[in-house]
Amino acid sequence: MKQLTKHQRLFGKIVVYAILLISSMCILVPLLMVLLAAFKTNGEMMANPLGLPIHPSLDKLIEAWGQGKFGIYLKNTAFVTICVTIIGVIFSILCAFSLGLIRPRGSHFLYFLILVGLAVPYESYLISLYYDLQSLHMVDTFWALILPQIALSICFGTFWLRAFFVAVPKELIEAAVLDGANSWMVLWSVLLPLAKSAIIALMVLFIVGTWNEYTLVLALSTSDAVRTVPMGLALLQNTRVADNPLIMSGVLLACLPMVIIYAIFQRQFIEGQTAGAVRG
Amino acid sequence: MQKWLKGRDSVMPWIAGMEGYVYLLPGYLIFLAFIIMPIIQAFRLSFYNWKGIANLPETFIGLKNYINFSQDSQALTAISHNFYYIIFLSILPVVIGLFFTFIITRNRVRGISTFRAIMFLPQIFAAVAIGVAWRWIFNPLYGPINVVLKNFGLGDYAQPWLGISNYATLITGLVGTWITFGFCIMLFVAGAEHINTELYDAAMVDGANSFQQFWVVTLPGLRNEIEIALTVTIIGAIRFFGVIVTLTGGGPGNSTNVIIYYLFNYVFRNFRVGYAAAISVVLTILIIVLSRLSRLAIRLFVGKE
Repeated sequence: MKQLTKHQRLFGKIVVYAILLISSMCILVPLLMVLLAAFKTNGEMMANPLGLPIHPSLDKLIEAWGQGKFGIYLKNTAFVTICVTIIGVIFSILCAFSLGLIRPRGSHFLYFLILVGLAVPYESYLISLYYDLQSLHMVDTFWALILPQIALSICFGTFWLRAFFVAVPKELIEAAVLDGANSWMVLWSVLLPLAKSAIIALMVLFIVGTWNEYTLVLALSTSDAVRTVPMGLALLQNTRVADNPLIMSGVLLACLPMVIIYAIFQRQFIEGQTAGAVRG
Repeated sequence: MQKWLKGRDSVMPWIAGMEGYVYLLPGYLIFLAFIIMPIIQAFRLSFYNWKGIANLPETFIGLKNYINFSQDSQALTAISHNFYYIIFLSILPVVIGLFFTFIITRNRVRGISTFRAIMFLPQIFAAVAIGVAWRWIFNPLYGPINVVLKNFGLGDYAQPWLGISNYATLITGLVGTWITFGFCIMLFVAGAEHINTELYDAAMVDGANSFQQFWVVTLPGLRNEIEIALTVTIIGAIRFFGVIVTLTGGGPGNSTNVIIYYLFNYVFRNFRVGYAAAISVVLTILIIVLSRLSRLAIRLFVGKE
């Protein structure tokens, strides 16, 4: 291989760092603009569309919370997200344990159905789901938003955790049983501690996925009573058309909770996205 | 009874089979009720002509919905747009990811974890939030793009970007690329770390330069990751919806219409439930077929290790 001179190597390094910097800017600059816009008023927006807000104001944020009803939407979204995440994780653990380790008769078929559930995009059955819920008078209730998303979470969570549980060395389980553990204790004292990081990654995926969910909420809800933040944002954009700082405030309020989650659970989120994809 | 309930390959054969079902029961029932049942119903509904109102009877029309679909120019145009977005959401990010892998791996790069954190950022924002943000950025009067152009005296180039069909489709595609390219980069960079360094040494001994090394060692080593990236992103391109709703609303005319948008907007609102179900079935088949095809393409075109 041709030996590069010191200068050539330095130049190469500069080019690499420059490319990394440019791509980072591509992602960060638009986000920064949105962030700045949220703290401007309409007047300042017209006078100073690009720069730092000279008189940063919380006016538009407060307006988004109150008149823009984001206070309500955030509450709804938090409620739905917490319910779906907690119940989804618990049931995923139970199903993964059963289908992965206990494997009662027929479990292979049951797991096959889980894979079917993963392969079919939920947009495909959202419409028939809507009519099912309508006949039960459950459209536009929290049930309508929570239960299907729990189902979706269980589908992925079972797939994800089952692979994890199956990889646990049998000896550990047998050792626990020799010490007199029943199945519940095996699950609690052997499997869960080992799967802690996988479970946290799963929780983060559920939280982000449920919070950002739009299509399902669009189909299954009709009023502000249960509306979540993504839907609220889309509505805000359509109703307050020219009020850009207000809309950008909405974007900020919609995204901030997930940014905070990302800041804390970054590693787990990335792990969830990449490892989950690999296992898929 | 207990013996009968036991599966044959249980890792914990001393546990009664019944216990297994008890663990399954609550979660799996919800799964059956809200996923499997609607899937079956959608499949069944696709053969009927139902208007969605409970009292009106449905009439069995066999494959008529599917035939109508094959002649529905709006639906077919929408799907063609989805294929167009496959280029931007899938192929382009994968190529970008491979390029970054080429320049990053085997070079000591500092700050890679910060870079990774930034690259993954678009994945945590809601699709609608991304659409809303970019719609403002391309806003003809107040959006940063046009404001910058005007400030630099290039005001003549300022356009109503999202109001012109060609620009709208391109911009929507690029927003899709913006969302996905970081994911591909980091997936491949992480995957490349698992490649056996001896392979690179062997290639170097054979006189390969860095590009040849990439082609012969890195690329085949990333086969799995490329497969995964393609599958995930192609599915994302077919299901592209949230961004379209807020960024263009289907675009000027129908130029950024996509199949899910068509499904919800036109078909659902016109109560052609059976037809919607048929489109849903076609959508599922399309996704499965495309996943297989992409996997096949990788097997064929990316060399063996």
